[in-house]
Amino acid sequence: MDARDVIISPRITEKAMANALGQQYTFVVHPAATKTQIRHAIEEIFSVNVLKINTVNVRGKARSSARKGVRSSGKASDFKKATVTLKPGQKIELGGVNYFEQ
Amino acid sequence: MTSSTLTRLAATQVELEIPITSEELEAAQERAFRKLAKNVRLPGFRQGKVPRKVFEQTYGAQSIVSQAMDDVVPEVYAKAVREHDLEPIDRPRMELISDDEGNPTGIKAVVDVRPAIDLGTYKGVEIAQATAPVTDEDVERSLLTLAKDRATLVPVDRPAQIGDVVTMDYEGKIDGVPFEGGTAQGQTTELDEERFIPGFATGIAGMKAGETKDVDATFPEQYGQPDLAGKQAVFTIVLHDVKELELPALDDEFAKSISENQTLDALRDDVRKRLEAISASRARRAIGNALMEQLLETQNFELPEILVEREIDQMINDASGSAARSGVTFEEYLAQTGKTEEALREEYRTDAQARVKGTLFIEAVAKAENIAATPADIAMELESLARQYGQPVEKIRAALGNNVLSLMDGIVRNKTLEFLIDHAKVVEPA
Repeated sequence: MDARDVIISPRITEKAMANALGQQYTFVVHPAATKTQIRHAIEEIFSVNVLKINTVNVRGKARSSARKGVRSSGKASDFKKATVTLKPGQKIELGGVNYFEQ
Repeated sequence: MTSSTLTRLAATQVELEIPITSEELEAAQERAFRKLAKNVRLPGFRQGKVPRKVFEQTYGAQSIVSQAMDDVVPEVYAKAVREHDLEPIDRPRMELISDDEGNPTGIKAVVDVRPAIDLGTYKGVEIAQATAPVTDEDVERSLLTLAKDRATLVPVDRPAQIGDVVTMDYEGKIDGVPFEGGTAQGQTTELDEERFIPGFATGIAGMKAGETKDVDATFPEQYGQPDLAGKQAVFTIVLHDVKELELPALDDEFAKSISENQTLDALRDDVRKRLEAISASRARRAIGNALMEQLLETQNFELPEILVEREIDQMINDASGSAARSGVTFEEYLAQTGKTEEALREEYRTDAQARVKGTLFIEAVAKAENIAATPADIAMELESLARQYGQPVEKIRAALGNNVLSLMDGIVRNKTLEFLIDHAKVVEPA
């Protein structure tokens, strides 16, 4: 798998930004990606050293909607979330903006 | 903070150059961002919790800068106004000053201000004003008017005289053609030469009840309806009856019947007092006018054009309002008088200038003397308005809303004028 297929997008949310010392970055990754694949992908794309990776499979929440009186149920997509911890002093910038830095 | 610089463009106009430091700007931006972020909801964040970086990425940094300027500009402007002790009379025209990178570094504001007025001596000014004492004749004349209100009508069988009350039909014609408003049936009226166009009342005098007669009368040159002014008219009068005004005897009984006074002498005193009060207030007003005229004569401070224009607007407004009350639109009124709005404005200009000059002077005096509208003054004014309109005070207050400020201005002006009059030396004219 190519590095850019492993890493799907940065995950920019309140929780992801409340990281420790600005050294942890959270991404949405391919559901089948392993920690090793993620490590290689991150190191390749951002030229940083990864100390640690935590992953979790997030189950999409059930969603229901009612349009024109017809109730239909659905579900937000499942995805895999990976939080990578970088070597102290390193950082990742996206388009010149470091979202994860407070 | 670096202070602002002031350039006088004209006697009543200044330009302020107010620098805004980058620290001030940054602080303002931080405040602006917090304000803006409050209402923003982006995916992944609760409302109001969006970090600045994410916010800027989504909405652009410019939105924060412009909000910051909106906040900071009035603030620094107000500060600069205080710093230079200016009295702006209008909203400033502002312009942004930016450095080469487009970052704002300050503002330039051009604003109209009050002219500096050298008040000169305004206390103890001598004013020549004749006092007109109330004479016995004045009192008797008032009593007669009171008596007339109580008069009874007695039918008489003699030719009508001026002062009688007659009932009649009339039909007026000019060159044999009836005109509008010239015809009436069964009109009851007092024959009073002043009340009608010349010749009408005198023409009727001498007629007996039941008679018919043609009466010539001439409309005066200055008549309200231009198409009738100066015209000769013939009125065909049918006189139905003639009544005489029988005045009640002027005695204690009369005094009791029309007032709480027990005797005619008491009523006389009462009337005299009332007349004296009227004459005193009239004299006071005359003194006020004379005083202002005298004080303003030597003044020739520059008048802010904007105030003069506003005053003219006000006058045009009043004119159009009074036209509307008499049932014509402003355009029709202009057509009738044969003037354009511009011509009318020019006509009003001199008056407007005089008014603005008076107002500015009065307000300068008020400032010098620390005359202000106290809450008690305002309450009193509101009460008198309430009485005038027959509404509760609260309702008046609510209806006024922000206009209470101009009400206060009015109070200050009146108080100041009273102050000036109180401090004037009134002397008999030589």
